[in-house]
Amino acid sequence: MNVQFSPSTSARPCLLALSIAVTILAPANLQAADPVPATEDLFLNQVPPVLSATRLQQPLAEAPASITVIDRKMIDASGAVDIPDLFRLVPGMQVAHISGNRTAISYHGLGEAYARRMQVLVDGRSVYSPFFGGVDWADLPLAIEDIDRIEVIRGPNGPAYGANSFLAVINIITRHPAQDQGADIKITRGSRGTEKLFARVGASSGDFTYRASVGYREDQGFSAYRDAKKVPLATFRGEQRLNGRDTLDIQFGYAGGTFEDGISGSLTDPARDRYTVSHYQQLRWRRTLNPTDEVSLNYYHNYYRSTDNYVYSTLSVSEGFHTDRHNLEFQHNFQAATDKRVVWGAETRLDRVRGQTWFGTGDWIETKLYRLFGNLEWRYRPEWILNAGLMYEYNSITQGDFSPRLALNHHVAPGHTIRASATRAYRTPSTLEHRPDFALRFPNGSVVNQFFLARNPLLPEQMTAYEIGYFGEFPGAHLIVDAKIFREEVRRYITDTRYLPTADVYQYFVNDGATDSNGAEIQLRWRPWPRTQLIYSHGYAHQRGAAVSESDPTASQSTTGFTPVHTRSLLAIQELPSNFNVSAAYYKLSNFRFGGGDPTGDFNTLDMRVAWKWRRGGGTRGEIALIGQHLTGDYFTFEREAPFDKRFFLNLSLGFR
Amino acid sequence: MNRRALINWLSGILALLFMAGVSAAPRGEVVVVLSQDTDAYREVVRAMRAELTRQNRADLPVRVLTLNEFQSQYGQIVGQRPVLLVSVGTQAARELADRRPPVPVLHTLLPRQTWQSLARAPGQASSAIFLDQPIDRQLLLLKHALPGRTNLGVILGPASAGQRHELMAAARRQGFQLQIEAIDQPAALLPALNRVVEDSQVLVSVADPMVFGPSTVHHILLTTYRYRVPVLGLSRAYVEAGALLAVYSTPEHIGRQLGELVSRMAAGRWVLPAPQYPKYYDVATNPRVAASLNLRLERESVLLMKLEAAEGQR
Repeated sequence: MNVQFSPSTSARPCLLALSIAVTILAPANLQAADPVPATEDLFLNQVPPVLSATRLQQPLAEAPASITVIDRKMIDASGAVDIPDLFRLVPGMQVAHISGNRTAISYHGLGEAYARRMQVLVDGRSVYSPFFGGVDWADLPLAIEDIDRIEVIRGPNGPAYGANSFLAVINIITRHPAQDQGADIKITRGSRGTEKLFARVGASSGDFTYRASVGYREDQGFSAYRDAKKVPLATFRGEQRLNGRDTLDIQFGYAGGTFEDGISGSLTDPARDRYTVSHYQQLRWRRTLNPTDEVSLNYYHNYYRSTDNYVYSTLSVSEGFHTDRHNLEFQHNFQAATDKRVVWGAETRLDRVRGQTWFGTGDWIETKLYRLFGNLEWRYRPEWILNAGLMYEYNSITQGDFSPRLALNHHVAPGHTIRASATRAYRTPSTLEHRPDFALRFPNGSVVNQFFLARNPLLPEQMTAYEIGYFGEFPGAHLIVDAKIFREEVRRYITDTRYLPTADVYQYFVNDGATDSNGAEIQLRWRPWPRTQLIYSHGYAHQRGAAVSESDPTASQSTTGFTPVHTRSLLAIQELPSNFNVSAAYYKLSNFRFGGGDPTGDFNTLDMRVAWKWRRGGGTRGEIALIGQHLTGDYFTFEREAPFDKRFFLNLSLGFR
Repeated sequence: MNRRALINWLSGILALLFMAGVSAAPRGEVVVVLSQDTDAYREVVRAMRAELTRQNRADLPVRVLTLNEFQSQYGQIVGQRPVLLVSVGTQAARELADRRPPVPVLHTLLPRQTWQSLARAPGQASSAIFLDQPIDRQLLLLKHALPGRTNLGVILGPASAGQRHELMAAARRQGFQLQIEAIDQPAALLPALNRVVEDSQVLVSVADPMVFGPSTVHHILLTTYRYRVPVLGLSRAYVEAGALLAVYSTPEHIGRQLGELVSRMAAGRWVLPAPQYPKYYDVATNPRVAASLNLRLERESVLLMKLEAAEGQR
């Protein structure tokens, strides 16, 4: 037998793997054995700017708007299982559960089942739907665990946040990959068949830092509805440092959804499943020019598809639709003078929507948008800051509009700031508002039943907002106060009404309404003792105005009932010995009604969370939490048929750092 | 015999021959060796000369050499029996330490841990002015700038691992809690950073290229900022890049201290002083970062005054 000491074919991969392992491990071992010593270079060399002015969060006292920040600690303590739950902590904000798989959010009322008057951004990517103008929260490709913080800009702010920044702006910032190196697993089980899984790994290799997350969510929705859901999701975020001044942020994600819909036994709305696919890709390049100046280029693409096929009586109906958004934005921040900072930029967007049943055509319907914006921050005295912003937006539906904004902040004394601002903003109608043609048709195309049809061109909704705010810090008392009084004037309010003249009755959208909201809001963050934190918010709003009736174009309805007079929330967080943590969130709202729903009446509700954390050597940590939601009994936020009952969840988190 | 030892030996012989041939040795010079011929190193010499002038010792002969010049003229230089050899920077310090010249050596502009790692022959007279700040001084600054923030985080790398006990002792002395994470490879930095920021109210920088090198500083500054943990940096450059504050010494500070020491040594009999930390220093703060973290910091000049007063009392 000829024995050779050459590797056999089968052994070759092993040797290859071994040699790779040796190559990879060898430098590491060398480094461990022979440390690179420190030299004077560490002290003398230049360091490229890292926390440039644009990466620094603006102190709330100097922001030209009222902002509510929901940070990671609040997210955990609130006991929120889903992202929309969090917005109840914002003064003046309403969260309506249309069904187990649809949530609508609005600020100062004026909401519908398809609430559509807010800008919602995830890491600078606008996620409101080009189809109806709102957000599908249930299958948004974003895990609540990946959120670092949420900034809610309460009020319009077009120059800074772009199109649809009308009633408010929700700005969600996800955790940077560098924050989640290692692995995390979270399992949640609870009422209504809730099963939630989340897993994340984060690592870095050279100048590339990344994390990848997967999640799965399943529940039975409300007992009165067919509204169970199953939603898997996966997201990726990576940051590549190209050199000392350029970074590339790469993100992509996917969410799928299977949603129960329809009513068992119904002929016109039969029981069925709706399927959705949602994905996005985002690439953001940033160049830091110096500690104060930066340019960035941000491109993203969102895609959403809903498949909803059923039989209406005897007709096959396909109620699905597709949406698609491409967006490119350039921004330049710079210090124009020691007392002047400027940000300016341009943005272009292509929104496309397709849905035969909704629009009477199988073609893509395009909306193009171009924006040019600028803001000057002028600190003309150390205690006076003026913010002047202007945006010009041109879109293919309503043509061009200017949105100006002026805000003045005055530090009356250290820690005490007064702010006054005036803003004008516009909201472009969504494709569904602009040119609906929602009908059931025979296979030959002739209409059986018309539900929605466009009648006359729409103008953008217009908002003029004034506010006077106060921001105070009382370090001795560990208290931060943020208060404002406001007046918001909405004109050319878009709503749907019924077209009666023909026998063929249908709904159409029209600019017919004007409404004013006056009120006051306060937020308190108080840490009375080192381990106790209280976060209180109270919004008072009085909505006055009229809009055309949903059922009769010649009648009008008051807008007063659309907005709750009082919105209150209190989040109390108590750290206890032995790594126990208890928190409670209490919400109390007065009556309001989202369009299409019932008046809620006054209601209150309580969520609680008890958690125990542990930590082991070697970076292993874990947490067990018990969450109770809706503990003070029945209430509903949209239809009276769907009240909340008490719900309990248990979750287990494990982390390996 | 390796090559360097051979060169040393040969140059020693040469020096002896040279000395034998010279009837009267020139008056003792101070020979300064620069690691690099760049502004930072030249600044040390400039400040030293300015200080010597102030002390009426402008006539003291000082010869400034680049590392290359020193290497090529070593025998001749040593043969002239300089009264003192001064190294500026790590490279020059290594060169001088390895050559073991029969002359007192004063190393400057190098981190303390680097000085400790230099080869030292028995009987070799050597001392140093370090570039890094004593930990007590840094803690004092934190006490005055950020009162109440007593939980400090530190990440040590292989080059700084030896400082652990000293850091802990100083923290205990001054009433701080210290959370230390040690790493032994670059990939361990981010996880260590994530652990350390959880419980720390300030991250204290330590001179270690694996932790605070040019390729890691963005991770340190961005991650700490996301957790709203301010960083005590190594220099003004770190502060400008995003650290909250720093106490640091410039080449000018070191040169001035060097001038004082040389002047004092000249007055005596060229006896080396004890190794020492910088006597002169400055405080840098980043008001933008402070405002963004909602911290109220006093002005740099006020903090410097307070720090100097506090150090004076100690």
